[in-house]
Amino acid sequence: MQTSFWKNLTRFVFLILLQGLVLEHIDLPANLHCMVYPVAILLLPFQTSASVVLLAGFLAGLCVDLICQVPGLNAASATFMAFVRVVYMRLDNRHDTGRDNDLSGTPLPGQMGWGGFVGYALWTVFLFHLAYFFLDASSFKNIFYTLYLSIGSSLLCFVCVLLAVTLFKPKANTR
Amino acid sequence: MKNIFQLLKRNFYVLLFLILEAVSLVLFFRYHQQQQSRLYDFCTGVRGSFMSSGEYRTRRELRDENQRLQRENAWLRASLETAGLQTVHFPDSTGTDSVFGQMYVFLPARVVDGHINLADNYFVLDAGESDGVAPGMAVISPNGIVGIVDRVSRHFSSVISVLHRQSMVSVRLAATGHSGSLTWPGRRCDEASLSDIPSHVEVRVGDRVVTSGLSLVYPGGIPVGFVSEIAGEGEDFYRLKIRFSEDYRRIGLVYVVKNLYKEEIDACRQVSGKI
Repeated sequence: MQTSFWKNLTRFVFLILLQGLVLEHIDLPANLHCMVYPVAILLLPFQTSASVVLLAGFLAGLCVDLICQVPGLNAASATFMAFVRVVYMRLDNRHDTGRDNDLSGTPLPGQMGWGGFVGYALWTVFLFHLAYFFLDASSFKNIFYTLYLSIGSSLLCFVCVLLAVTLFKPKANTR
Repeated sequence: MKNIFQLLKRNFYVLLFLILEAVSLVLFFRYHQQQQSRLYDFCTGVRGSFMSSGEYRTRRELRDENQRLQRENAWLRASLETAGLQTVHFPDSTGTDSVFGQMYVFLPARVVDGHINLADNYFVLDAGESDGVAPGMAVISPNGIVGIVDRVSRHFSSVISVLHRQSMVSVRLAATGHSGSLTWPGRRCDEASLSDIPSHVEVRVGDRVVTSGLSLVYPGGIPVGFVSEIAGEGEDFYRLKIRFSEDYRRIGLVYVVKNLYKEEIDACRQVSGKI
């Protein structure tokens, strides 16, 4: 459990710093955004309590906001994403396997199956981007452009998720 | 109570989510002026569409709107040709142009008291001497005639209603132009009598009756009502019943008509009387 906690914390800090210090300063073509820190929320262990997931989401977003000096935007989107994750996990009862304090069970394709994982990741990531870009626009005037940004950046983020799950695949994924 | 606590405990994460989201949004809109103004525009738009649905408008807003419209109507009425006096006449038969001077102005007012069930009925208006109201001025409503100002205090005035036994208004049939006298027989508040229309004139039920403009109290062409019953055919004059176009049971907003040439006309009448 201790190992899992430190591993999650390290991943959390690393992704936030990567996002805030590197990726936010890279201009991608077609105005797309590359967001990787949602992966930290996405890969929190199954048994993490709802409150902790929400607080983690809020803190992750707030940290990125503070680094990028855009207070509130990432915090609101990441909190929303954390809420989506909590609701998704509650609806998908297959992984509600007891209330022990085992934090080693990470939502990975090995645990959820590729179909389940792709559905889970796509929904949460897409809703995160939808919240992010609509909040940034604060208007429905250019709704199609906002949708384009949301979908394009979601796909980019999803690629990052796939890369991450192959990177964070290790032995800890045994429950 | 225990159940409520259990429910709250079970759904604590929703409450926490709402709190964290609220904090984030407050931070966001506080530090982003552009988004703040967009949010303000959005909220104003939503509020506007909600308020303009009619049923949710406050009474105060409706009253203000009414007053504004009433002032606008008064101005529009004053700019009608019927409120003008032809001051320059062109005797040349080919000339069609005329110059009109303002003859009538309209002062908006509201009926604050009155009755319609007595033999002689009065209305009280919330406009008085300080508003430019004087005895002898006509009072009209958007749908018809109301009466003539009788007494005036500083802020109020009493009006002899057309529903008064001594009331007599010069009117004409809009279709033929024949003039007659409108009186109130004192029975129903929606009905009056019209006399002095010669029986050779073709009159039909439903014919429109308007003010003649001959009395110089009411401007010409103000709607009065419709012919509802025709009697006296074969006699010298018809005995017509007129249905008022105004419902005096629901009267509210009115206009006091001020004749700007009243003194000049009165002076002429006095001179004619002496001759």
